[in-house]
Amino acid sequence: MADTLGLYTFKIFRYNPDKDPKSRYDTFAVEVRQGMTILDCLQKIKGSLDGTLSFRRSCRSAICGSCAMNINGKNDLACHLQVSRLRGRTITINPLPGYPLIKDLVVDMGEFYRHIAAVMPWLVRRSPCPDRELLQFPADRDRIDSAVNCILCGSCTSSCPQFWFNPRYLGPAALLKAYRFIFDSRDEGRDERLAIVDDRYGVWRCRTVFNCDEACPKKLHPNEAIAGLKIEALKRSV
Amino acid sequence: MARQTGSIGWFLQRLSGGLIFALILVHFSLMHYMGPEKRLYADVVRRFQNPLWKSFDLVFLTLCLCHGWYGVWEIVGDYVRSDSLKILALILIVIAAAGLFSIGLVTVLTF
Repeated sequence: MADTLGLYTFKIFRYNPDKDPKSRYDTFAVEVRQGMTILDCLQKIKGSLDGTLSFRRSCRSAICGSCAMNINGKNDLACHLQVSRLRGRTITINPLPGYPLIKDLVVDMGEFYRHIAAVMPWLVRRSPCPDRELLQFPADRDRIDSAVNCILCGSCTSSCPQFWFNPRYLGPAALLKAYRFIFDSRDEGRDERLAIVDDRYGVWRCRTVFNCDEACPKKLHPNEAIAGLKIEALKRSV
Repeated sequence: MARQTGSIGWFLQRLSGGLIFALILVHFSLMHYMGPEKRLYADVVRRFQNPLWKSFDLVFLTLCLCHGWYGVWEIVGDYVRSDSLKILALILIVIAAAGLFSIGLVTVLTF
């Protein structure tokens, strides 16, 4: 067939604590066609080569963030990344680093979601709500534009060395979420939220490594958001 | 008592970093691009006798030690979990910083 890319070897991390406490890598040969994503290949492996392989997926449109994993050493969305964009014929797939393992490519993201919940990821309103939608100026919207696009895939937090060693650290995703509301002109919970991020395990634990910016599959800039939060938190302290 | 968030430490690190950068430019210019080609002991003594240079070097010394050792303390905060080990590290940092400051102080004030 003209649109075939040929045979690729997938080296996939396997771990099933119910059967073997040790992890291993399994290799699978997959015939890849033009346009196939990593998720397509994983589906093919699960469907026809090894039905016991576990991984998360849902929307297949790079919107839900479920299929984030470590592909050839970089966190990315399996449904978004096409095989043709990778170099070499061997593709190594690992679970997202930094989170506790559950099985194969599935990790426990409980801590991640707890951190997101800790920064109150909702619009706080104290004044009476108007009868219609809350409008804001385009310039105000621009300020939070990129932060709104976070899909909570966890790639950034998983790539942060500070989070690897300090799971209490809120992490870039939660801080980006905090930024999204703190800088939202319609929000009235600014001080409360700033008090949460202005903590030793909040913005001050960030060492500006930039891994989060590099890992984000949506090309967002959590590091820039954290820098903005640091300035706001500092203004609050002095 | 104010809540210890890390904001003041973070700000002081940036401030001291900026000041050190400015002072280091003066230091490099003075040591490598100005003055006699072959610097003698007497030249150094003459410079240290000027109270302005004495102050400059003392400020430089203080800023570098504070910036450097606070940085080490932050690394300890990142990687050491045990409270007792943190206290031990803090004691060692204070002793090392005080020791180095004393050596610098003696050097600057001797002349």
